Amino acid sequence: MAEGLLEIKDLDVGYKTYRGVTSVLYNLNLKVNRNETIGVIGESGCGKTTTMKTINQILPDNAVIKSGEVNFKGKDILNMTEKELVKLRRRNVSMIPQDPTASLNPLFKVKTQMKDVLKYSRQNSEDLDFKEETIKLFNSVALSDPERVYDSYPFQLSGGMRQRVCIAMSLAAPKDLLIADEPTTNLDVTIQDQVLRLIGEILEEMNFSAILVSQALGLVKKFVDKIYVVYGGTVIEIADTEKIFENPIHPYTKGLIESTPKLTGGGFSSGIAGQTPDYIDPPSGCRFHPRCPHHSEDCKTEKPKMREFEKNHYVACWRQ
Amino acid sequence: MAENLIEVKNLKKYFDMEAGTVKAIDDITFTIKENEVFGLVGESGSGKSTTGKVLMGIHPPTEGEISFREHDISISSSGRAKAIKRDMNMVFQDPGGSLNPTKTVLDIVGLPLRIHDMVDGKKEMAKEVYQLLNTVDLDPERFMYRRPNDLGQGEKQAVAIARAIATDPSFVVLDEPTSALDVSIQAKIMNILIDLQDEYNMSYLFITHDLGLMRNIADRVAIMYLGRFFEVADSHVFFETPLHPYTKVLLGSFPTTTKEEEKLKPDLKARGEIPSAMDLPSGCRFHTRCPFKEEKCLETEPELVEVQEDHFVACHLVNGVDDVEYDVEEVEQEEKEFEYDIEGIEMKT
Ligand SMILES: Nc1ncnc2c1ncn2[C@@H]1O[C@H](COP(=O)(O)OP(=O)(O)OP(=O)(O)O)[C@@H](O)[C@H]1O
Ligand SMILES: Nc1ncnc2c1ncn2[C@@H]1O[C@H](COP(=O)(O)OP(=O)(O)OP(=O)(O)O)[C@@H](O)[C@H]1O
Ligand SMILES: [Mg+2]
Ligand SMILES: [Mg+2]
Repeated sequence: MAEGLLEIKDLDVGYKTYRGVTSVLYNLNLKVNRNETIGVIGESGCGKTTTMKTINQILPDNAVIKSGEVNFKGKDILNMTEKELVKLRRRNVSMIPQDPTASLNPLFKVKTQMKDVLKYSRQNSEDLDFKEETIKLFNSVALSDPERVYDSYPFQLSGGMRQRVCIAMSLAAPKDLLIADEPTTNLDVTIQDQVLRLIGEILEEMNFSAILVSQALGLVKKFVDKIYVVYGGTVIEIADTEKIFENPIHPYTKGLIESTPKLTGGGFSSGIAGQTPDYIDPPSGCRFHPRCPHHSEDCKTEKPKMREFEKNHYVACWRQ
Repeated sequence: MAENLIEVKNLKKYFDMEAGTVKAIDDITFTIKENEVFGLVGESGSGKSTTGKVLMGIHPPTEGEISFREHDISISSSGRAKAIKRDMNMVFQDPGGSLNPTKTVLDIVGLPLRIHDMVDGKKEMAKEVYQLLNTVDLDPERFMYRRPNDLGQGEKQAVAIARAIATDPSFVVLDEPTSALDVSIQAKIMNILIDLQDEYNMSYLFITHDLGLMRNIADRVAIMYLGRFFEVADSHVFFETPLHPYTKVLLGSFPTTTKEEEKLKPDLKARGEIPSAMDLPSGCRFHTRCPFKEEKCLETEPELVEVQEDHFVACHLVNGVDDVEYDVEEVEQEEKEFEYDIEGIEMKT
């Protein structure tokens, strides 16, 4: 039996906005075992980053956690004191943020920012040669010119270089759980491959776990064991990676996989019809029903339960 | 024959840093035609964004010429005519950093309209912005009065695209414009971009690491490595019969979702360290990572030559489509041994 590391239960999170409080995450459930890498996919604005920021408790001020549990090693993160949270972030959970530009401070050189990270995340950091450690990390994420990067301001680096600086920061002290929110959007495929393989090796060696959030389905397919598909703040399908691509069940998952542009050409699909839900007043029942070609009356009134469709393949849809 | 919209000749852009000079663009020559999507792929840090920024006048070129409909624009943006500035726009790589966090979406998208006197008063501006948001698939009612910090990453990108097309420009640099969008919205936005291009006769410089996306949007594609172009060809030629070893390596590493795509991928993997942009290798700057390198590759830098109509390659070992002096299959075995090697090294670090 796999050992659980993180378990999110019935999480509801929204934001205060000028139109009222939104309901973004809605009964979201997610589980990560030790030594497991899961992928989280779903369209822009479906709540992926919100979920990840809840785990690390770095949500913006206007966020409202309404209910739910986020159990990490059996302890609910939502009930932790500030002191416990600081420890959690420094020792247990690290995050590669989605927007590398926004998460690096534009006013400080990379070396200053790396030093801070090393100082707080490593034990016995007084004896550390910060420069040497940093250069080593930069080499491991395939940054050429590590010395120059070390001495640069963020704006003097290319998008992919900034992203690798963020990755290096998150790997400065490997932790039980690595959350990677779109970690490679700015990297070319060869470096992408190299960096993700490196992360994979670290995870395996240390018996750690990871959550990879990405729109790049090809990439997810290559690197994760299990996929969670999120729509409108809730999980609608879970399966082993191969299964999702071979046999997607939920109409939304199908639409997503069909929309991937192919190396073989053939133009763009029309995408999934309709817009993402308005979180102020989200659709009743199944949140996907207004966009679903197969919906019927019960889809409008009741939220579909997650049930096992086949072994290791779960789906929340009334029509399946 | 389509007219040339942008002509770039022997363009160089160097950045002087304390540690040395970074040759971000090191002598590139190309044209973008009217109504064309010109794609740019390549190594991270190879100079793609810098190329876009130099065309936009954000950085003045170190050397070389750029013209736009035959007007010289080899200068920074402040020296350019207002009409030209209105006609060129850019969607920046990191959507977050390019949007003013203190402004609402309405003001952000409306700003270029105001600067270029294209609207009369707030009300008309709001009307225009309403339409633009609809165009990029953002519900105006919900998004008009929100600020960048309250938006998801993909929503920010959609706002940046709306802003870039606000003034009906003829030319737009799209730097990873959909990297944060899911494939479904991406497909919608790509269709919108293609429609806009047809309808208003626009041209794009399109930069992306997503080769699947590139295959489906670009008319022509160039591949860049450490500031130089290695291969330029029509999109289908580029993807189906690439000639430069680096192009093959890049295509070979692309993660795909279907078996048909797998078949199209050359069987070459990346190897070696990426050289420093401040201390370039001698001869062909790719030789340190090329499985086929020969004596001459270490000595002289290959020029970009036309090996068949509209297909340009910069490689000593490629003299024509049928005259390629290297053999991919031959290195496959070697490649396998090499894989073990890398694994050995990685275990140690
Ligand atoms: N600070 C905030 N205030 C109000 N609404 C917010 C805030 N941050 C995010 N949202 C909204 O919450 C929803 C979910 O956002 P989130 O960033 O979690 O999406 P995502 O799945 O990560 O999307 P993407 O793929 O675009 O990064 C979006 O509709 C977004 O507009
Ligand atoms: N303002 C600047 N000052 C100094 N160096 C710079 C500046 N802007 C870019 N560079 C350097 O120029 C090189 C090319 O950067 P550029 O941003 O054009 O790369 P890119 O091809 O867009 O990469 P990516 O795919 O990672 O976005 C990099 O080595 C970068 O560090
Ligand atoms: Mg996100
Ligand atoms: Mg770039």
